[in-house]
Amino acid sequence: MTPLRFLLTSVFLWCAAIVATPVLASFDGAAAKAASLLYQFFFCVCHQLDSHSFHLAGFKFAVCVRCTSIYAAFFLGLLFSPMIRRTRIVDVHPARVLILSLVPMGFDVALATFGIHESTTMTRGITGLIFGLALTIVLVPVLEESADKFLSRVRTLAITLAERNLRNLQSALNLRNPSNQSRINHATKTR
Amino acid sequence: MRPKPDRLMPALYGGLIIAGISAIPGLNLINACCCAGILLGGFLAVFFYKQELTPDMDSLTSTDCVRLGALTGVIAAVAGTAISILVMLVFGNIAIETMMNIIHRMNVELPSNIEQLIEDGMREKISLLGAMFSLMINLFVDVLFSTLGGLIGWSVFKPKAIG
Repeated sequence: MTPLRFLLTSVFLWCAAIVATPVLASFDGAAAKAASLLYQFFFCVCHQLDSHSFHLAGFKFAVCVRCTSIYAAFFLGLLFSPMIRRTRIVDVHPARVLILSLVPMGFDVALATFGIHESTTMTRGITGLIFGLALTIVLVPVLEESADKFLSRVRTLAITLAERNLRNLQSALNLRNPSNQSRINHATKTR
Repeated sequence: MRPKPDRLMPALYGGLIIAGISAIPGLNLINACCCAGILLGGFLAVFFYKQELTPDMDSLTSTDCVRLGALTGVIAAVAGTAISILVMLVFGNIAIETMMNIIHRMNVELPSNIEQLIEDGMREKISLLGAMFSLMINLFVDVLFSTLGGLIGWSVFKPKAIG
């Protein structure tokens, strides 16, 4: 698995959990319990206000409109990251990209908090999308680098474990039937 | 080359910043926006670590930032859960009260069943199982987002020769 595919799968699962929560909540029994756990889990990440959320099957998403937009933009950015990398925007310093993308969101939140302007689904969605795309520009190259290191470590660990298991299996077989060892030795010599 | 400084102190500062943001009622609303407070803690841990690096040491690596972010998240989860329990024991469930005040000030209408659920939540007492559950969730979320914060830190502070 390539680092990009690993990241895409992880982010897709996160986004799928957000969309699956209201669908699960619309059923009874175990599905509803799973939805309740997912709502509780995502409450650590988002305020989950009903009026600030998208709805599906009569139930709200696991996170608000702004957070949904951020994660969706991040997923889309990740999907199109090979194309984004070819543009010159990746040459801009990451701190500048982050600060610039935070400005519209900061204004939207601050003005709504002080009652100057009412934040709407549209403004929350657009500002979230901008921040999510900026996060893609800043995070994807470093995430890919880290995922590559992580995956190569997992691969090395898996190979070491497999080798150890094979050796253990071989010695167990030899203990059970000592003539196996002489056969193996003979086969190696003839080869 | 001198060895790199210990990661514990910057992680501790970052972790305590996250714990403070997460546990102080009102201030914890920062985390309502995609865990911005947790991302900030991971980012600041990398910033503090960078300050301790001198030219005669090896330069900052992405592995340093990932480890620093993860360690910051672990410290934040433990400290945050402990501070929340202390705040709840001393002041009661003021976190929900503060949030409700802000929601009412923003003229947001909540459905009656949600209002009921919140009122039930305000009457809830601390249990060992609840604290453990909260710690587990905090560990997952804090480590994940703090590591992302650390990676943002790497992206911003990485040495120019590498980038």
